[in-house]
Amino acid sequence: MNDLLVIGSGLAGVTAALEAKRRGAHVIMASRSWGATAMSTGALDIAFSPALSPAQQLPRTVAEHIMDIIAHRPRHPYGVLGVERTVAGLRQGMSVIAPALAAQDLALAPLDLEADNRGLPSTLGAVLPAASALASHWDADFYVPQSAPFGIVQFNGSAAFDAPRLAEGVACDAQAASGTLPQLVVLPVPMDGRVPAAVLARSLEDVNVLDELARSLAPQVRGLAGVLLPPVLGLEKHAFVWRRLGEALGVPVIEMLGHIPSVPGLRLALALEAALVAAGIENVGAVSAPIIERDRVVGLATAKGNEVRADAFVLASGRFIAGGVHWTNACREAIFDLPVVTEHGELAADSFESMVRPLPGESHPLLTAGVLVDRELRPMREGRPAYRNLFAAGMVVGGFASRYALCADGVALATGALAAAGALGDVAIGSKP
Amino acid sequence: MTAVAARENPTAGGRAGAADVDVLIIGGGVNGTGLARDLAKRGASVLLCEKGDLARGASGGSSGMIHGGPRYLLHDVETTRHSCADSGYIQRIAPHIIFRIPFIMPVERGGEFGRLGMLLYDTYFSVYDRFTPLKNGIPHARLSREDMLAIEPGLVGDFLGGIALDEWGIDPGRLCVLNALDAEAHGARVRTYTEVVGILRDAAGVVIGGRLRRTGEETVEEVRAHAVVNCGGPWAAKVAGLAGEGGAGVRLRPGKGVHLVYERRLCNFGIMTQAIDGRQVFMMPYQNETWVGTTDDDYYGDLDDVTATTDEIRYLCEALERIVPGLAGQRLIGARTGVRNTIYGWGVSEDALSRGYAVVDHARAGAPHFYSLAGGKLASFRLQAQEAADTVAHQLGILAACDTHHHALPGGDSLPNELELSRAYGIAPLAARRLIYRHGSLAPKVLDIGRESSTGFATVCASEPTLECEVRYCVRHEHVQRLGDLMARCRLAIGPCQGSDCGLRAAQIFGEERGLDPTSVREALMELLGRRWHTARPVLGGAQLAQAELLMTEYTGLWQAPAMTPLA
Repeated sequence: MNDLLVIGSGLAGVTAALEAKRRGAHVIMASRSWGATAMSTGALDIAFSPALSPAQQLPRTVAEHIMDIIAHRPRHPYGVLGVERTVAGLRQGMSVIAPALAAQDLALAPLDLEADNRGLPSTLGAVLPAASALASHWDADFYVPQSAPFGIVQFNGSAAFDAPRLAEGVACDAQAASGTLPQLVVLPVPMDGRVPAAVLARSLEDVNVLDELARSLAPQVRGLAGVLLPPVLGLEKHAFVWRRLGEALGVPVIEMLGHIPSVPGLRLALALEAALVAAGIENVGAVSAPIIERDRVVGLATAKGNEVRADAFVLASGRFIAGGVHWTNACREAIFDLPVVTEHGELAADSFESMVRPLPGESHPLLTAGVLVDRELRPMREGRPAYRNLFAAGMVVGGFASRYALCADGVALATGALAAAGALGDVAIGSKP
Repeated sequence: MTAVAARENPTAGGRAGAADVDVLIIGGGVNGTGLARDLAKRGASVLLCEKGDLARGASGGSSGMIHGGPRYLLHDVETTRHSCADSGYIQRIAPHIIFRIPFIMPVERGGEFGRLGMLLYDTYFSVYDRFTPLKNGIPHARLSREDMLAIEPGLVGDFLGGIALDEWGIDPGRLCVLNALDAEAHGARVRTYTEVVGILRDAAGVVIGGRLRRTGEETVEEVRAHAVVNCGGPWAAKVAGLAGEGGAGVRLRPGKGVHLVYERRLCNFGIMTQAIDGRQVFMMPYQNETWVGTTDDDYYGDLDDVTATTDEIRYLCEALERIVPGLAGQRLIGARTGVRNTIYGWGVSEDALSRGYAVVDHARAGAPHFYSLAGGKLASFRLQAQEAADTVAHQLGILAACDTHHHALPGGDSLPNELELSRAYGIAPLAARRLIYRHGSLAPKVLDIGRESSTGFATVCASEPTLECEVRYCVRHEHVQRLGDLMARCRLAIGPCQGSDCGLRAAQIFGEERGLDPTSVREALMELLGRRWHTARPVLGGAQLAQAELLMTEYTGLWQAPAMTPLA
């Protein structure tokens, strides 16, 4: 018998599953496919609350950003949890995810909530704030003045990665943040950059190709503080590719954060999948049609028509990208048909108008739509927990969008860890053989 | 002759007195650009000012058809006649940017005319057939139920049969751009994002020019012209009002029209049907999309901020989903909204209003040398322009006759072979075909730009596809002031990705061509995405909602950045 069934294998779902496993539970995963985690930039977005007005003082540390989000956005999951539980959840989530990924050879930079966000260069041509990231992105912080020049690699003919344009953007943001204009030197390499990023990443897993890249870069890197590249240093053999290139060049090699479709997202998704396998957590595939007994969920139907039962459930099915929340005739959560809430409050189930009519000065309420949860992260329906043993984590929780505060990974880690803890609080672990 | 003399005899003004240009045209829709081309070809010096981008108003929001309007046969035969006639000319001068759209009109057993339905519609379209040769249309055909369902298997209903007829689509954005470019080739000047904020008049009330202001700027400049023509489309009444009492005589009844855009072609033929109120509505394959339209409702709101409402969207969906139920699950990517420049009429329904046009000479209202071209249809724009140009040319003493129907618009003189072009430049045949569609004989000139850099032939917008060289060409040669203007030039960001895929790269190219700093590049991108958002927002749902989430998430970092202040 299963103690816990987790629906969704993104960052939130895997965090919940591994946390439950750590607590000794028998966990099973129901994952249909990859979701938004596979589109990650490579940064861990924990908390960055942008200034609401130019006059406002920007918070400094990640913890201060969390408090700022809570102060300004009461419906945000951090606000629902409160600062102490948010921080505890983040630390716990990170403590299960980081070693699990490291075991798959995907290292994360340590998360220090008392430190500032770092300014990481991205392939959007902007410097983006991040509290942590895959290690290959972490060794340059453009929020602090850089005296030595950085190189930026231009693959031949790459339209998707236009090094001179990106360098201009990064330098512009870095100057705005640090007061110093960093120097960025374009380093052309003869390798064909016209292929999709994932294809380039795969080809660089070939040692001969990688060494050829190293040879064409080596004469150009003297005196550089680091070499920036698009995130194409390998997919499954990323750690090896990154290390070998760094050793060959003798200067830090830094991958810029990617945008969609991004190789770092694929790496993360692959490593999370492997971590589940390593933890011995079985995946039963897509589930639907919940089986309810009074106020409890007892099971779900799998795509093969079987029933899968558990004592408790964590819903980590994502939002629109993953399909955890959908809208056909009304906006609803997809599996349990739970009502959704936005940053601005509840959506009337049948009110098309309230969903398509944005508030003045706001982007669109729908983009913050997800299930409403109580302090224990139980989805609510008609003012009370919908089911005693159902908990929610990640983007399926409503009331926020990463558009307003870079926080999606932080929400996944904190709610993932706390939902698992809450779910198991309702279950006597290992009570059944 | 001096300006003083002109004042003494305003009606015989001609080209008297000092002026910067002969004619100042206000409005860059199809009326304004068509008139600019006509007058420039007759030898007049022309300045056209458009407060937004070309084709941003009624032209760009239209159905994109140069049809004869069988709908108007009931109320307005004259409009059907001249629409058909001019449609024929337009096809001749712009063969590259037109495309055939065959339509079917299913006739239902329980319809208005019962079992007589087929006979009545057959007779009705027999009348239309008298006009269709003018637009190179083939006569209508009567389809059996079986034939009709073989052509369009998606139709569901109790049908007696159907009527097939033949119409033509056109890209209204490119039509306006090509008219403007041809006008410039004949010496005209075109200024977009330049609003005419005042009409200059001398002491006798004669109109002698206009006051211009660039969008977003404070400074106003004056331009002297021998004649000023208001081609303001739905804004025409407002523009005429700049001349105070002298602008009297332009009265419109603006009608808002909504088209829903589905991400791809869902039918082979256009399908006409009736909405819940009995109005005729349609779905049609349009380029690589499907459009469902049109509403027609009196519009009293802000002409500069028009969005589709829930009621309009539901009304159109309901009408088409009734006979094409499969439409219900399809991906709706946007609602295009425009306001018609219909001429005023009281006591009739919107549909029954005349689609006619009027050339108003404001001399009667005490403002000589000021004219308004009001009303009209896309399908007869050339004729409308000709009549207005005749009036202005008469004042200017220009004797040359209109020849806009004799010469092709830029690129329309011959059509390159797509396979040859694809081989010569190493691009995909589909890309070559779409490029020829937009640029005709100028396609090789566009592609030559691709040879300037190693990424010149890279695909920027995969939905179309649009190549990097075309983006550069449009930015250099086609009055692209803002990144979003590319939508009407090369269909960038028009497809389901809504700019999430192509926006950043297009902004980089735009920035490189214009020498913009990174902040301006970012602002350009936001302008493009903002415009897409405006049409996508009212119809968000289904898969497009996931796309919107993706887009918002992808560029999150960028729109955080402008709010970012130094971490002091």
